[in-house]
Amino acid sequence: MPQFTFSVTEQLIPNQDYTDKKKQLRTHVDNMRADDDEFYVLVNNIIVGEDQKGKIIDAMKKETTARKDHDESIYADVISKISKSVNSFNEQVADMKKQRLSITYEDKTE
Amino acid sequence: MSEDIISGSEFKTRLIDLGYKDLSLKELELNIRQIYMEENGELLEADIEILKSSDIESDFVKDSGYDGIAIHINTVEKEEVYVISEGTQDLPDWLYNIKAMLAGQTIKQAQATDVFVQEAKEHFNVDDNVKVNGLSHSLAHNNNTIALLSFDNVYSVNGAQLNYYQLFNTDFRFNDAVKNEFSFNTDDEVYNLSPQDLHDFAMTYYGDKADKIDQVISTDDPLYAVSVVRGFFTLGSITMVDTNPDVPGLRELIADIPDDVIKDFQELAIDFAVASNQGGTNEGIKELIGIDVGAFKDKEGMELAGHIIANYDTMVRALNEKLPPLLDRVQTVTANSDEIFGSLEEAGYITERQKEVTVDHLTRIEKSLIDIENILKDNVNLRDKLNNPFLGAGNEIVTILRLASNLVEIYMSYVEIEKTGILKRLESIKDSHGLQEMLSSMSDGLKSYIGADMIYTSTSTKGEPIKVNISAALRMYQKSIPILEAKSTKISNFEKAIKDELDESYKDEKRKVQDEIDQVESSPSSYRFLLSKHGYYPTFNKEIKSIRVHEIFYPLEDNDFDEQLEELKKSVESGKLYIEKYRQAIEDLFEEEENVSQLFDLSRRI
Repeated sequence: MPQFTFSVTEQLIPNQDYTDKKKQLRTHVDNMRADDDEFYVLVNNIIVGEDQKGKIIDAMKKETTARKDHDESIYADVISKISKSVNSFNEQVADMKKQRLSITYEDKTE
Repeated sequence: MSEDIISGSEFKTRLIDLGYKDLSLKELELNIRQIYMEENGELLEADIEILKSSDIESDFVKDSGYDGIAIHINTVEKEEVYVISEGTQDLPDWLYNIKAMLAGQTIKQAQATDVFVQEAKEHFNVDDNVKVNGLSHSLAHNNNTIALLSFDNVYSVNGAQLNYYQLFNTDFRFNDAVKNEFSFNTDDEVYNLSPQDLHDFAMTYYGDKADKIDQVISTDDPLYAVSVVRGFFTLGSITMVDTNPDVPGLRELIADIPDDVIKDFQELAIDFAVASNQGGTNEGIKELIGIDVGAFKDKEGMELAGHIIANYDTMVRALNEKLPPLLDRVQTVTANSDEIFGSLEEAGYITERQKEVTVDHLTRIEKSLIDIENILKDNVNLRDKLNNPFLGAGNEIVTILRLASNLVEIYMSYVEIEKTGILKRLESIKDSHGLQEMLSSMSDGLKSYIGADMIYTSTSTKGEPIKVNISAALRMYQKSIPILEAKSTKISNFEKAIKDELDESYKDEKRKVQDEIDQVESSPSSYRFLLSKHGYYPTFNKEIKSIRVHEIFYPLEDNDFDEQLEELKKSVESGKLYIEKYRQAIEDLFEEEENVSQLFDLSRRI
């Protein structure tokens, strides 16, 4: 009896949404931020009063602000990277679940 | 005698302040070591043990409302115990204040102080040769000085002073001595003696205790002001401090209150105290207003309504009997409000407008109180006339509505008074009782205090002096490394999470797909549905013989966080440098003060 083969692309496993991974990963960033907040609370209590001026004070205030801004920009970059990575992960896993198949069957009527 | 381990008013006051903070035993110990280092410029090389009164098994101490912390410090050469007794904190403490200080009817918290000190000595396994120092603020001074036998000395800030009525009622030797001196027999007669004579006698009688007591008192402390009235006498070596130079303090104002007015309030407090000592606080309130508020407890809805209806006649009659004397006392304040608030305005505590609005509304409150008194009187008179406990729904509703209308008037007046901001303004009086205002006024050259923190003022730079919170700087230097280390750990956790959530998870998904491929290839017949799915009809005459999967697995992309992780790690490293730079900056501000550098070094050794 003759055999025939055809090829198709088939989804082998149902798709799943992995967006929740963003939250999982962001939690770690929030934890790091909490440490920074604690750190800056300690620092900000040192200089008494906002209006104090002086070369050393100004320099330290400037450095503290620059440092905080830099830390914040790192976190913003990490958050953006997490979002991009998890979106990409979602797409790549979905693609992986689709594979090319060659199916060979036998036709009994011929 | 060599100096105590903890010496200096500032140190002791900061230690008393610690007692108010809800700290664990470990935190307390670290704070004690930190303050010692800041005050002395060296580490406290000693074993420290701490016991809280809340941790001892004594119902007597718990029921009294007393709160204290005992600290045992052992430097090998010297061993001492410090007991910080807490001042007024909660409702039980306020009730105790009325019963102990105003009525002079109890010393339970002082007795509890004794019990706690003995328990602490046992707990620390120290004998009577070990010096026990009492530290106290507010109410705690009264407790610690009454319990003076347990202490070798007492240091207090803004303390509630000893009260000779309280000691007359509780110290039987003093009771006998007073009766002998003033020739009377029954205790109640003591309230009719000249307060000044009693004061002078108490000062002499307890004079030998004076050298064990050191007190620092703010001239602006309301308790200092109150201590001018009958009952209070001030023992010990006293240092007066003007903590709020903007105002003169309230002592003169209180001194102007006639003694018979104070005596009236004292009688009220005694009624409350005697009843509540016998039957609890509810009994005390019943003594004042005539209603058993405890009977309302746990009742609601119909049960509560039923209780009120069943006891309505009794309650109205009791209120009618008890309220007039209570309102008389309140009227003493309202009737004299012009003078009282005029003096507060003159002294700069309140503004003219605040005075005017307050006096106006207190007059209205007084009118409402008189109305309430008359409404109750009319209601009871009518009951007596009709000889019926119920006047009928109509009459009762009118009574209730008239009472409610007056209560609303009183509330509205309160709201108007509050709107002027007077209550907020008067908070400065409360602040003058606190430890922080006292600490703020304890400056010594370079050193001063804000809150309980030590402040250094730099004068080495040109222009305005610069104030640096040296306690905060040391905390930053001490705690920031553990914080940065914790952040390092969190970065590692994040790195691991990236591997788990992306790399490992991708591998898992790949494994699942591979398992499915194996299944498809090994049991092709199970996948007949693929024929119909892809249009190979009819299917009944077809049999799948094999399926071959041309699997392609790409490596995971966009999972590279190396750059971000590197930045995060760099931030931790630069944080360590930043801390050192900050330390250097502070040292530069105080370059003439060699000990700043030393303090930073020591802070990490605590």
